[in-house]
Amino acid sequence: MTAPKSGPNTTVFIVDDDDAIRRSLADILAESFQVATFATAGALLESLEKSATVRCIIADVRMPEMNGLELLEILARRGDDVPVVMITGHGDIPMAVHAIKAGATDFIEKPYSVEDILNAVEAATSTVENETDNHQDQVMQRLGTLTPRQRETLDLIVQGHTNTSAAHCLGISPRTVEVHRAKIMDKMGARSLADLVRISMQANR
Amino acid sequence: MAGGMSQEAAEKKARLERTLGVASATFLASSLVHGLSQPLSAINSWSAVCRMRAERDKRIHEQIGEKIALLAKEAERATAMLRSFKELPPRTNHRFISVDLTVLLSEMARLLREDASECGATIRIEMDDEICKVTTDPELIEMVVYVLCRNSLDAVLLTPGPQRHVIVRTRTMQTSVGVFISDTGPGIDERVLTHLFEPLVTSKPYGVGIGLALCRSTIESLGGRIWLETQSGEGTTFAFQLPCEPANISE
Repeated sequence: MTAPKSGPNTTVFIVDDDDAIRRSLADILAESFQVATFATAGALLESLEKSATVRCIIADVRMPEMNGLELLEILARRGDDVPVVMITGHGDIPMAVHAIKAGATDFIEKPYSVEDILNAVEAATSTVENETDNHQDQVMQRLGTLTPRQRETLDLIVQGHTNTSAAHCLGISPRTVEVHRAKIMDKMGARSLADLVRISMQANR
Repeated sequence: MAGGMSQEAAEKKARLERTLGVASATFLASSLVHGLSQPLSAINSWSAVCRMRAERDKRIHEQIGEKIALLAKEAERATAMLRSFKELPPRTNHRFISVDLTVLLSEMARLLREDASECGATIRIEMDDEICKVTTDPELIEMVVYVLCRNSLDAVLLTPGPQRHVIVRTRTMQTSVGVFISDTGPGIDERVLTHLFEPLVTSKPYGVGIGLALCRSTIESLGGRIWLETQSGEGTTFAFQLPCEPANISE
């Protein structure tokens, strides 16, 4: 991590109602960034209005009062494009896909490792440049290289299907779905599921 | 049915037991994964913080650096283990169809009649209406009713012979239906009452504590709710309520 310790866009905002998650995230990220922690999304929003130095937000998707998806909705309505990394429950792919569609930059599944967190924060803060690479015609052209079967598989994946449930829908084995999936990621130039969802949203714009 | 269960009924019961077995194992695994993933994530972060800070101080590093590394490694091992439950079957993959609860419950009572008589008990259905239509997943409802009735039969075993009864009632309301399963058992101890629907909580001496937690998770995933009423020495009623037409079925 080579981020500057002060200056604009240096603070990572963390919001989670779980004390241990919130405090441990703050401790690890404080090694590289300034951090601000919040137990509720409401408190984060309030502070966000006053702050010009936010680098990205890490938010739990499940919180009482205002959850992570509602937070994304409010940010979108305000036209705030601060990157948001969403923490989701393990294997909750439908929720993860939902979050990406609602504007999250990336998601991390619990239990996460420290690398997951650091990589996600790093990637989140560099997405602004990446996004301009994916022009719609380029995406359409890439989509055109998929076989019909791969196209069907892609549609299911970005709807939030797991390999197993996609396999069930298509009447093929999960292993075959996995192979299709790897080819799709490669052809579409996506590095993660989050990427894939965003790229295919661009195609449907 | 003097000659025991028909082959069809026996097959149906075996199928129910299988569904219940798979659902219980999945439920237990996902409860563990979800319950452990929060503390484990925190441990991963904090052990990395310890490692980084120890590396900055030679004396501390020599003293506990190795132990911290071991701690981090074990936490990572546990993390990898939980992640290997990669694709638990989705908990919300429901097959909603129009179901007549009258038919479903009568059939369940018929399946359980033999179990009841082995317990020296009777099982009886009292319908509110002739037809009780609801849009839901019948396989899951059968599983819940099966678990609750089996629990009731376990409960009545604790009372003297002549008073062993299980009664299944329905109540049709405007937008929902209720199913009430009452037993003449001894009632449930107040001390476990508030946590009874949580995983691994049981009032039975040899119970594991999956059945009721599974029932609650299932009924809630179908858009309903489940609760119980119990009176010491009188018996217990487990009840669940389902919307006739669940909202956002496709979700």
